[in-house]
Amino acid sequence: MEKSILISGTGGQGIVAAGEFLSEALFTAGYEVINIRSYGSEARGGSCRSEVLVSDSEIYDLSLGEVDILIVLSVPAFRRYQDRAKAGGFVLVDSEVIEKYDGEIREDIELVQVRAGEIALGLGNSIVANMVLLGALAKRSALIKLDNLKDAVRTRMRPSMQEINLRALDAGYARVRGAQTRVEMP
Amino acid sequence: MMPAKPLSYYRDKYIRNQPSAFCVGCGNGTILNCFTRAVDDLEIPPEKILCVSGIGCSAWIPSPNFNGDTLHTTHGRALAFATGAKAFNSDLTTVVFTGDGDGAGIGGNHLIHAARRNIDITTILVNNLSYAMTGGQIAPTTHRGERTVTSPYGNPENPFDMTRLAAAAGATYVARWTTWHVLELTRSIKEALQHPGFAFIEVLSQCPIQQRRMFGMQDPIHRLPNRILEMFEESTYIRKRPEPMGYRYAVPKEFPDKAFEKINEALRRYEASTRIVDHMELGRVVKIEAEEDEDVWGALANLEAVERISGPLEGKIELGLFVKEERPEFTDTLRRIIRDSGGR
Amino acid sequence: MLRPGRHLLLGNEACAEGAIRAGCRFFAGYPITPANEISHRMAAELPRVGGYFLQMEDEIASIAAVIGASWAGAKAMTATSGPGYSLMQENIGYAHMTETPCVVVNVQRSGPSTGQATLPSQQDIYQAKYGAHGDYEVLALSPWSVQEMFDLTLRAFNLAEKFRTPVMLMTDGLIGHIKEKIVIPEEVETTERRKPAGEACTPFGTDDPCLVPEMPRFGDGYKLLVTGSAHRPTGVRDYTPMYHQMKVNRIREKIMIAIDEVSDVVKTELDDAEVVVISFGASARPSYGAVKKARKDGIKAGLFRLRTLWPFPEKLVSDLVDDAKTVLVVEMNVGKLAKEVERVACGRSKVASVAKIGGVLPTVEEIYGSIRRFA
Repeated sequence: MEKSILISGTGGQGIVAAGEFLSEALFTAGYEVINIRSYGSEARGGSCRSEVLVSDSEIYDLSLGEVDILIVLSVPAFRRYQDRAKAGGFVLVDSEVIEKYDGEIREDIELVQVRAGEIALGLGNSIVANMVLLGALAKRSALIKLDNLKDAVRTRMRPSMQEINLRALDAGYARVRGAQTRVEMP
Repeated sequence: MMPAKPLSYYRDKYIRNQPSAFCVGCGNGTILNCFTRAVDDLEIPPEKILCVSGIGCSAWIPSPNFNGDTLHTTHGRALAFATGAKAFNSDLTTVVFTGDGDGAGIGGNHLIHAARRNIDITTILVNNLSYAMTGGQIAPTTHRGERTVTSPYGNPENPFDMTRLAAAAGATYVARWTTWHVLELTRSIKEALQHPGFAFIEVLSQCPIQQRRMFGMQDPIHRLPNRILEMFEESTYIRKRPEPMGYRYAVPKEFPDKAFEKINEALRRYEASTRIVDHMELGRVVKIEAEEDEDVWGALANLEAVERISGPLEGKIELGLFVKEERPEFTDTLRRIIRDSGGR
Repeated sequence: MLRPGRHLLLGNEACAEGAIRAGCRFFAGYPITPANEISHRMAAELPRVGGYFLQMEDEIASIAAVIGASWAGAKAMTATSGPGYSLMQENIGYAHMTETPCVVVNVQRSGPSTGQATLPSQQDIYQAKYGAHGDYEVLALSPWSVQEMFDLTLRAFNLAEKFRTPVMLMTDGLIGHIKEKIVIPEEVETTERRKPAGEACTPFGTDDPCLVPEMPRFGDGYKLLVTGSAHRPTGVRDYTPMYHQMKVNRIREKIMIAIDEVSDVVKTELDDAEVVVISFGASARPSYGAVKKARKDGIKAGLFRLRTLWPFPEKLVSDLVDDAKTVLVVEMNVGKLAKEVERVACGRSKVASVAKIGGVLPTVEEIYGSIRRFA
């Protein structure tokens, strides 16, 4: 059983970092994980993505097509990656993106909105919007537990930034509405 | 004063028993001599010396002649190779021999960066004003207007002043000499070897084969080395040293010999000595030595055969020590980083 | 350095970890995507084990410094990508001529020229073999996972020291930039270069049947003559035909007589395979997936994966084509390895090619489709 997650946004929003923390948390939980990220000139200002493949057995393929879970932090990223979600896939997005998005929104996806940017700003730094969404992911999917994400933050992040990121994870977990999605543990 | 050692002493101790590959009258032998004397005076064991060179005539000064470790590398890259060796084993007294094509042309980038790092390497740049080994093409040091095989209508480019370039790039010891100035050069190499940082010495050197065309010298080849060396002396002055000023150069309109006659005639009534000399910037000119007397120079002012009278220092190359300062040395800093990060 | 055990690690970081465990104590490099993380990790880790990290002014200087450091006694490495690899070629040739052990990592990106700077490729495999002028044989390895970035970097150092030659680690921007599981062993086996024991030595000649001379280092009193010009066994520059022939033949033969020892291939489901997929590096990943899928559907497919690209394991490939109906070569270039396979196959079996450029990996579906077609 294999699940794929694509996290996307604009460079500087902590997209690569979100992919790394999620990968680390899944890896620590015992899964096989592959994390592929875009980089280089795309890393700052342009659109940016990080892909995570998680499985209970060896992973050989490296090319991700449609993904089970799509996490989006910016309008351009939504425009670009909306179609990468599988039919029936789970799409977790900052509410502000949907408010500003002027195009068609697919109806065959399970769209979950979280006021990630706003919550992050309330915590004192909009950079932690990525963690708000990961917290929400822990609540809404059986993919990853909140504690695993928190452990990853505690072991991988520099101490001065841990506190606010842990609070962001908690906030996302607490504030996302709705029950757990159909996306299950691999 | 120490008794002079015979040439055989230096040859036996520092030179491999090879037939010399240098052309007759080349300046490279002089530079090798100055280098071995400097090494001997400082009592550095040759097996602790690493000589690195690139491609070109200068590269053959240490390789295969010098009887220590030698690394004869690719064109222009000697300093980069030397940087790796010196960084890994800072006990090696590391000397780079390069030329003006090798060090100012293809390897110019490595030169400025080695200077910027202030790595403890002594670099001797032999400047013969051309790519000599490949047939005398224009180099980044060739003077504007000079005719060579690749500038048959005159060099359209401007030359680098390598000494000032090295100084600007951050070298902490910079000097310039010529193969005429063997004592000064030897002393300077000693200072450079002892200097804890990037030391750069430019040596203007004769190449009787290629400079013959460049300087338009018609003499038979065996006379050229001396003539070029004398020209080096004539065309340079040593900075911070009082320079006798009681002479000028008359630049002839056409033939120097003709101008020489006319000048002698015009100066018959004055106390002045005259001779024809080679000057790198002015060409073949008449040198006139006289006490400062406006009448002398006035007598020449309207002479038909003379184009103009030049001042004593016009167009001359400045020699001597340009920079000597202390700044943190690169390999020292690397070792400190290792110590500070707990790696010994 | 990471502690032994299981880690989630970036491919490029695994390369650096492998290098340090191999005993690498000198790295010189120049920034280039997608190889940078190797430099970053080496810069952080080398000083902590007493090693030297230098950021040079360009890639030419980087490989030059590596060769200089190697002669000063260091196990040394540089890492780059396409454009930098092109710049390094002249000095890689110098390393061949002077028999200088060193490791050159090429995290291949899509070319020619700047190409697709952030996207992976396998387009430089001929450059690894033929990049410098003159005649020589090259050792080139190709990892397909983060684990192999570690393992094969270690092996690259061991081969470099054993054969006194530059070794190419031909990885790509995909393997370099994925994070996946790696298990770092408690201990690794390292090879140390053979140094002369006595006072005299011929650094460029040997009577030993392995054809690899002992290698002294600068400062040990051997008064070495190291030159890129043709030379006698002593190092003295000499252009006579005999010395050039001796030299060039020996540096080629020292690699070719060891081809069985050096060749490293991984065989999957090959015993009864009618369609044999040959691949390496990143493109071997979907190839493996496609073979698995084909087997599930009852198609007799197998995978022959090269971990040493050069010298090309001719004998092993030759044996393979005798038994296979079709050989399908999968790679991220216009079909370079396929030509090499065709040469060896000599018409004995059909050789087909899945060759993909554009900075994208061939998919399992594409490869599976080809397998079906030829089954």
